[in-house]
Amino acid sequence: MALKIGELAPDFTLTSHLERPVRLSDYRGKQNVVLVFFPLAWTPV
Amino acid sequence: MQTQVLGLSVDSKPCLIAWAKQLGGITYPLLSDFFPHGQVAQQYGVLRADGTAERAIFVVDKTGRIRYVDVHDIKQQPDNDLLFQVLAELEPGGARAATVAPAPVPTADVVLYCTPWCPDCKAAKAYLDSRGIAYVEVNLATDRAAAQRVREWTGGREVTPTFNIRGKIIVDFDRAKLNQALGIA
Repeated sequence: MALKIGELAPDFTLTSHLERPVRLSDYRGKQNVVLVFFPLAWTPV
Repeated sequence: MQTQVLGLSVDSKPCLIAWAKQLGGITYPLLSDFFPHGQVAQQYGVLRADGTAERAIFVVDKTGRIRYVDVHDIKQQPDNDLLFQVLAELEPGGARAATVAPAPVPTADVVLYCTPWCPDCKAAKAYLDSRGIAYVEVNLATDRAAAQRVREWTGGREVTPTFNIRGKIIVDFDRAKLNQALGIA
């Protein structure tokens, strides 16, 4: 694991399923964030 | 509790939209870590060799710092009570609002505070094994009272491995300090 507890979380901007870009650092000073990584979603698509 | 949940997977966007619909209207954004493939998963060290992400949870506090990491088996579901406990710890005075009963403090001569995914912990355990030294292992990911003790010893960081050898605290896998505390060469 490259990251350690207490370190700054690497920032990123990704597009959500709601067609909206989401940037991690936008939550800074406002909210705690829980990042949940999933394996593939396994849909019929 | 002021918390935003963000789901991430290496799926393309159309795939996530289909999945969100299938789940019946999901209440948090699902983010597509698709192009460049798995870039964020890689940054967070959870991209697997087969190109998918591990099932992993990172809690990032309001200052942007990582406060909790849990990487778990692909078949295993995360422990919600534990996650709520971690989030409660982030609130002022929240550490007292324990929802999970604390495990008893181990009294063995050598206690090793670890997480299951920490490479230095594996190395430290292999070293102790090779020297024939018995130890008790405590998992910081599930024992949050233990994590609190480690934070007190280290000045706020959950460094793994941290050792408690008959009351002497050694932070990180420092072979020289460890040998000295154990009285071995």
